[in-house]
Amino acid sequence: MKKEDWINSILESASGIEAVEANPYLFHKITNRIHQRETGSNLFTKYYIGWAVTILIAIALNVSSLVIYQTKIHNQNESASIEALANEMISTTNYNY
Amino acid sequence: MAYKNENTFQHLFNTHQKKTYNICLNIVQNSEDAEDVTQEVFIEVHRSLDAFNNNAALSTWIYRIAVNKSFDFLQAKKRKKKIAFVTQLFHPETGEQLHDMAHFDHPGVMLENKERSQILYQAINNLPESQKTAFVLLKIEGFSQKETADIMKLSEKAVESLYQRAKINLKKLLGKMYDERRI
Repeated sequence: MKKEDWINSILESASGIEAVEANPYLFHKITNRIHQRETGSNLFTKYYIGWAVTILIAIALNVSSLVIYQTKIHNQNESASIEALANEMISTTNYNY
Repeated sequence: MAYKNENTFQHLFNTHQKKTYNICLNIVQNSEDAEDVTQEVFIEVHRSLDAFNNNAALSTWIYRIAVNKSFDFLQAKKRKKKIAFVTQLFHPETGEQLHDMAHFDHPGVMLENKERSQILYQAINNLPESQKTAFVLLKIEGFSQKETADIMKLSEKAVESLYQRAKINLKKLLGKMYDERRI
């Protein structure tokens, strides 16, 4: 009986627990953390955007230099073949009567 | 986006902070930890307000976040304890014990009830998560069965069953504690 009374008195103590107030500066702490996070995420985004732009510029430079090189080679080949054709025409039309 | 206006968020905070803090306090059983968890709850509320489903009550949604964050905190604490058990409990220089989870001194308990409530919290800590939630919300926080069911996303019947099982388990645990004290 004594044991049961003790158990019940412990269980009943739950009804006497009053709600307490939180730290009065809690709201400021929360808003500070929210602002910190927002600034942090902006820096994070800026950092990655910066890297992405750098990589894109590097790729664009590589592609354009490749295109320029290819065009140059193509033009060189073309002029060489024209020159060869011209030489051939000169040699074939140069009759010695 | 209207909620993200600081004044509106402050109003929301003022309305729900006390209940939220007390839910966290009764689950994590440490004032500083409860404050940290309450901060996490309102940061989450601020972040997710746009995604909030208006079919549910705003208070229910906030208290559900509070319950979930509190248990997440306890799990993280348990993991940390496993990694560095000794350094967690004792001061590195003085060797003094920092805090003992088993003896939570709730600031809202009258002096004559202190010892009994410490024993009660010690027993509550040994309950499974869902039973602990049902007991804290119904018996300590004074939520109705309907409110508790909404917070826990369960039926009222399920909540009643959890509460009854919690009571049975608490009686068993307290019985053991009584016997140990006698020895």
